[in-house]
Amino acid sequence: MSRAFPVLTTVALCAAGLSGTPGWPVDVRICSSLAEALPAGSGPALLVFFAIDCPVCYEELLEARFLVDRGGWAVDVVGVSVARRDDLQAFLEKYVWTSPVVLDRRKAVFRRYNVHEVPYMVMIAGTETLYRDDPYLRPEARRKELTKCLTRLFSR
Amino acid sequence: MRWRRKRRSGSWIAALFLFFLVTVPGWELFLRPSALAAQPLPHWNARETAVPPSPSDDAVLGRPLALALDGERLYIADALDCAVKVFSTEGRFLRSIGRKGQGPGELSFPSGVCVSGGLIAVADKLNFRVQLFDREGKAAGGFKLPFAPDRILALNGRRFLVTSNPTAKRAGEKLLHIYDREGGIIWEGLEPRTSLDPVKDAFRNMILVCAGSEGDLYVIFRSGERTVRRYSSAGNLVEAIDVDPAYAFRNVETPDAGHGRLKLAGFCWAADFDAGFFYLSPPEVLDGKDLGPGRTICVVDPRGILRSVVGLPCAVHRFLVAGDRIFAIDDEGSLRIFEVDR
Repeated sequence: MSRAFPVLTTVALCAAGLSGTPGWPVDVRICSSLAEALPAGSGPALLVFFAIDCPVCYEELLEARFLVDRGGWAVDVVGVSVARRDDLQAFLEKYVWTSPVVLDRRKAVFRRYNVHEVPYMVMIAGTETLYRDDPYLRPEARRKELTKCLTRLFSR
Repeated sequence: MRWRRKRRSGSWIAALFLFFLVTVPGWELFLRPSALAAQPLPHWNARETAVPPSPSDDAVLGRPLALALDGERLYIADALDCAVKVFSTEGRFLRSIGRKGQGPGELSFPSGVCVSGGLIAVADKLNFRVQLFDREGKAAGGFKLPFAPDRILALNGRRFLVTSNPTAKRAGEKLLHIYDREGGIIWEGLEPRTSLDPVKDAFRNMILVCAGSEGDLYVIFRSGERTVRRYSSAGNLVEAIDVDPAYAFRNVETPDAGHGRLKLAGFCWAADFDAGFFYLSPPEVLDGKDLGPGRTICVVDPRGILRSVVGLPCAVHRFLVAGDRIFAIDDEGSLRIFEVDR
């Protein structure tokens, strides 16, 4: 029994990996608006605009989370996507993404922050925009600029 | 005597020239094709018709890439939603065809759409195939392709033109492919331009295709070349039309994004052909660093002469002209409909 358990667990995990979804329920948070994702009084937030069919966007989403966690900065990471709800749900479950994601089908948040391409990051604090990606920079250079902005913000 | 005869024949020639100049409109253009450039061009205004809002989330266009019109139905290929959205010509959302997947009736990044003989043909890019649907949206067959299709056009004689983007991985790649409805290859042509710089090549090989009125097709390079190439439905190059120099290149030097700076001579962002005229939308220079969709559409006649300019209230990514109507996709991916006051 004790010998069979790890074998069965491994088989179950492999099966889950092959099917593309984890074998346990994932509590994803799909919000219908930015206000729902960031209630009044929330601190700074990093908005990551992404598309579910774009591998670079997925990397950016993970990188944003990693960057904030590594720095220990008190910043909420919020994804913004225009995908269909069921497609987005499947995507978030597949990658076990439990941070809030705004479902922006009508592109209200994209318009508000004047975003025309993905992946794209904007850092906000209330109504103030603290940082926007420069689309003409390489991803590494963008990340450097974002780190500088976060360091400045939290060293005040 | 000899001098007098010469003078008489000279006056005949002068009279004939004057006669042509007065009676044949636009005759002077044979002498000087860019004569219109010196004259102020007629500027046509575009009045916007409001698109009725729809409560359905399906009506929202995620990443619309191509439009096709069939009578009273407008079909839009939406790559993000993996569907073809059907609208009335007033812009009312009717329904969505297809869903994400790989099976029959399912799509993955549809990048082109056209209508031929009552069937809707979709360039199903990431499934490497052309998929056919009937007007009710039911799968009606299709055929596999050895490349990822980009755009699709209906030609005469139950033929399709399918375009591809060069991968630079296969020898002898072509940009244009003509297939019959069963998927039999009829013709392939137009070799991509290749150099040592793959990024530059990617820009130089971006093409636009428009269906002509006689089953023929037109090819326009988006940058670096101001010639419109006309091909027959069998794939023969019929003519190369030089576009009026009054229709200027939009030059830009892109910033260094890891692959060096790139000098681009932007020519056309989007194009269509309707009732004997080309409708070419020149790109706009963004922040002096990049090219983006423009707010004007230039009307060019079959000889390449710029005839007028249509001013739009917004930049348009893609558009389709049908008589006095322009169906367009704006910078935010929304459907806009304009009536042109000529």
